Amino acid sequence: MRIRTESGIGHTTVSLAGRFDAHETADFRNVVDLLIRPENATLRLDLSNVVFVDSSALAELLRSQKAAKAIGGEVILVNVSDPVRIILELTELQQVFTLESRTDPTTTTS
Amino acid sequence: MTPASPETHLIESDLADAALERLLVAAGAGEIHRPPGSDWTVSGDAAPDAIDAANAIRRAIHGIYSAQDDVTEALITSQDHLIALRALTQVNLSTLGRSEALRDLLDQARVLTASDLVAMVDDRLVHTTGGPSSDSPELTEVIREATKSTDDPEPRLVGQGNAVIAPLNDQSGGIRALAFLRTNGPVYTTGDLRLVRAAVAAADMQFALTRLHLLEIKRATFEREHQVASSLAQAVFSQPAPTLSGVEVFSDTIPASLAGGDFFAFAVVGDVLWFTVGDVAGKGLPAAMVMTRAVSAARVAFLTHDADDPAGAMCAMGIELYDYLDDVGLFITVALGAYRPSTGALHVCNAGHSPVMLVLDGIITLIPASMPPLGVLPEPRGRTVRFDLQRNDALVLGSDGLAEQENSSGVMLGYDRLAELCAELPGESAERLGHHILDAVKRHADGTPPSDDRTLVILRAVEAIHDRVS
Repeated sequence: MRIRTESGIGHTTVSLAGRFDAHETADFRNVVDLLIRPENATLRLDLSNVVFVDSSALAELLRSQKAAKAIGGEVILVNVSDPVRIILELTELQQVFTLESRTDPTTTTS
Repeated sequence: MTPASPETHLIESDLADAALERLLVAAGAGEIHRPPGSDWTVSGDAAPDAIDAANAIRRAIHGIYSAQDDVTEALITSQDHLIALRALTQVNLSTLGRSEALRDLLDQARVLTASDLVAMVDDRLVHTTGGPSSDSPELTEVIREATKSTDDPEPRLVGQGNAVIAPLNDQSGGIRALAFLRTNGPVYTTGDLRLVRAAVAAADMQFALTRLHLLEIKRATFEREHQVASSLAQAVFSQPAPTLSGVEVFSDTIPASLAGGDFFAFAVVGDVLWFTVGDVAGKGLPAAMVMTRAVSAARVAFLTHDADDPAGAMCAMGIELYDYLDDVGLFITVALGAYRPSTGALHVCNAGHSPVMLVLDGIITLIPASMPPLGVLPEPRGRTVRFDLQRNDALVLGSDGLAEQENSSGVMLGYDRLAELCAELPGESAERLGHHILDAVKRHADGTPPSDDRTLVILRAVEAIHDRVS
């Protein structure tokens, strides 16, 4: 899985591409843990190019969401790919995250 | 090369002396005096040059014999070194006990380098062999020198040349150097330093082997403990499948490694069969440890809720597990329900789990999740859905390891194909349907190892139910 980070003033987006599974969670954690900080607690995760997520990856997404919320921020999932969307729906986890479309900035919160 | 024997020296020397004597007599010598170990003196008419020449020849011959003796002695010493080196390298073979091996090593290093004492030094003296006691002034001085840190890996002479400090290449074991000391013997030569290097190389090898040996023991211990813990975790599935009139049960779980995070549990409470199937996020022993706790929580929930309230049981299970799951950063997808064969009433609550499928009259109906997995929200709320089963209807509960099993090309079996498989054997027993599905997953994998645990539970209504209460 490729992990790319874009940082601007007041916003940070991490783009993931490829399979997000148990083998990738350590790298993901290393990147994200450094980015979620009190001064910039909201993190956008661009999942448009993620082709697969397993339960370990979902647990990692949840862990980062809890870490962000604990300091007043949140993790926003951007442009969620179909495979990820299906898993989020199957597991009812979409209600835990804010989903955002980059072309359509309307925010959906369950 | 065979050293000349002392007997040969004597004979040749006598021959040379006899020849010189004849030469001197021919040159006019009278009486010849032969004081042992020094030049001859000659009376008579022999020319002084002839006498000097004869004495020079005798000294030259003596020099040759001395050199021959030196070479012989060096050869014997060299042979001794070879034997000592061999003994040094065999320290590892003869023992792997750390203290015993180190003592042997120091003994052999002392013999090899003709030292009176060899010491291992870290920040203070660690172990010595032979020589003066460890608090003697000369040893104290050597140790003080040895504890000085230096970047030079070569052995260095200290004191008057009667001691050598040789740093180890491998200092991870805490030992920094070997110290060699000759209390009364000659100073260390360049040749001795080579032997010191050989001793240090052997010590490095010994430390490395000992470390590897201990690591291997530790690894083997961990592996054994891991196996035992995994067996204990998987033992929750050793209970026989429940029996209740009117329902067939098939259950199987295959962890991807020794233990896994998938689970199932049953309980017959009165005329109701309670069941749950779940999947702890993650794999291996950590997931299995969480799994055993989830099974316990489920069993308690079964006994404390009404058969039409799986959502209440799920909520209780979620509250019970939330703090624990939050601490370890995991969640559990769970399907939980109760089936009463006497009425055909099936109540199910799904917390983020899939697949949960009903096979009703050969048609597949998915039972979607009504709440996120346990461990996500502190007070989860889900819904109970009710179905009324007819004869041969079945409930199929799996884990994602079934549909997500890949073949050698990386293609997953898929949820659609899994659903098709569930509908392929209408009217067959739960056991046959279970094996049909598991065999199909195995055939699809075609030798590709499972990337996740595979779990399958099937409940099937087996007798016509009359006078149901809807």
